[in-house]
Amino acid sequence: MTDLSKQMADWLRALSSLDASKGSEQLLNALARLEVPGLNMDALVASQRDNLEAINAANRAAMDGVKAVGEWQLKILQETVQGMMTAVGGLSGVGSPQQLVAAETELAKKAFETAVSRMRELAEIVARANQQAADAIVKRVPASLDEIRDVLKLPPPPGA
Amino acid sequence: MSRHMMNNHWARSLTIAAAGALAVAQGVAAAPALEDVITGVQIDPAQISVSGISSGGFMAHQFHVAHSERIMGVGVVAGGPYYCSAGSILDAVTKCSQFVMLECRQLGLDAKWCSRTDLAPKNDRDARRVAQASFAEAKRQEAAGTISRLAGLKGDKVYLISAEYDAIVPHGVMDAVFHFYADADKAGVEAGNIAYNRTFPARHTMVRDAFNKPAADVVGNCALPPAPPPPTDRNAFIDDCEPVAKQRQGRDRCVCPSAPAVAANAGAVCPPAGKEAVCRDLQDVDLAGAMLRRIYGEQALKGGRVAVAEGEVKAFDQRSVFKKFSDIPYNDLQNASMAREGYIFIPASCRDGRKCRLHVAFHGCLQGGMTDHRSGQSGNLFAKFAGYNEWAQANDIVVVYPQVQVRNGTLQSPPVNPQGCWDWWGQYYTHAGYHTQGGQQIRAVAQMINTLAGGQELLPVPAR
Repeated sequence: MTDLSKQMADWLRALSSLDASKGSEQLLNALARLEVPGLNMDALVASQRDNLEAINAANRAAMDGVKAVGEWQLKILQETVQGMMTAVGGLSGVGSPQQLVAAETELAKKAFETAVSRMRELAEIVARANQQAADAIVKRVPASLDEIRDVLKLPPPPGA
Repeated sequence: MSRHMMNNHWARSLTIAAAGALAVAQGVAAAPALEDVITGVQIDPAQISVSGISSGGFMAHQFHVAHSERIMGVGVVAGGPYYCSAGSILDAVTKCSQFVMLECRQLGLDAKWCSRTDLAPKNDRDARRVAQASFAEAKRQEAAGTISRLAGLKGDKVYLISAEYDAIVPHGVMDAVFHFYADADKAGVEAGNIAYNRTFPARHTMVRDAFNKPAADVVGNCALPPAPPPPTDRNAFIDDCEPVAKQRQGRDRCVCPSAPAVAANAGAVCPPAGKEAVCRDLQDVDLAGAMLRRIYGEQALKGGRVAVAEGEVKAFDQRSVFKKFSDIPYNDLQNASMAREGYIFIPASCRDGRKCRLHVAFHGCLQGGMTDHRSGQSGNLFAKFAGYNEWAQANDIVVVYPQVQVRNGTLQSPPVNPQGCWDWWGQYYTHAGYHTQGGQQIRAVAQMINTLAGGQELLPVPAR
């Protein structure tokens, strides 16, 4: 039994550090069977497992978002380098210094416009990523409110 | 501010917060237990059937095999044969479906390499071989006493469909289901009892028609290749294919003139020779109806269809189902990846003491529980809009919609069920025995049926 209690202590530590990967089905089930007066351990463990999974999912969604942002940056970098090379090639044929300034200004304006539209794209990616992460947590809210009564063995509301 | 005042302030805030939380908690009280939802309902124990789509199709067939002594009919939409995955997630996504190949292509990897991950049966010989292995496993489980005696499959009614453009579950996999039921050296179900629709023009979806179709865009428009499928996050996998079917009926000259016109037009064969099967398949534009008709017979469905409001589908607490056989119902519900709420449709007529039929409809992946929260939609779309309830209302059929949902478990702490599918592979999910009467999901659904049958143990629900 020492083994089990040690495992349990490990699991509780994992729980407190919110590391979902350390729980195991058997241990969670064993914990859920513990009898603690005034507490529905089955509901409590189930509720904690839901919380861990929600955070797990949120992290995963956020990671996807980070990856998307990374891919976007790479794309911008490639486009910028390509754009610069073309532009430099084009500028060599420009005659007077005034014409060169005008051409450069035009180039800068276009680059700015592109950057703005790309920034908007990036903002959308980030917003979407956060939305997904937030959704995973938000989906838990109604369920966890419902759990307060279950965990504390509160009587059902009148008329329910 | 004194310490005393500060404490008071904190205590007050906490009390208000707690009261607020409880007030909201009361607003989201759990759904009633199944037995409280079904008061007055009586089920005819000889008229219990199942059907499902995709992973729900796998489950419907699996449930039928596990409990064939009590289940008298089955409908399988894009599912696969019993124990197809042989308990392996890898086999599930390569031999029994094309998930890996589709993912591979989506990632833009080499098409030739991707096609090597498609290990599904390609011809009739392959399909028979898969069916052979599948039935051999059923025989093993029968001998071990973990499923019904397979003789129970005899005389049962079977409807199968593998739509023409299904890219997720290939035809060969459904062909194996057909051979499982039809071959004399396997289940040997009578030929007249089996219908197999192999040509209906649709993708991987629950086909329905326009009858009682909800407003807005809940139900898709059955887009066929080369048109792209709707984006997955907006695809309910329920499609109105009536216009497509009508168009094909015209093209294939399936619409036959009435008798006097035939006389005037002597010589013309209708439908044209060689098109009989295609024309027959095109009639199944309302799949729920086609399945129920095959299972219960034309006569039993003579009441036709009536419109049903979506609010008529009621929720019940699936945890209370687990309480009947588990000492940790909350956790066992999670272990089984099942949602807190299941749904049921009960025709008003079934409360007056008459014996009603019972049909269990299994949703597909991404269609169940909390997984089915598509933006702008009300959720629970399969139970509301798959097309069963309209027939059920007019023909004394109670329809139960058990629900599974996504679980983000880890390999160390399963279940791993990222798409919210019914379990037909076991590994990292509900484990070995998932395809027997002792399977975690099969037990729960059997318990629902028992509760509906007045609490008797009609179907065995073995202790673990």
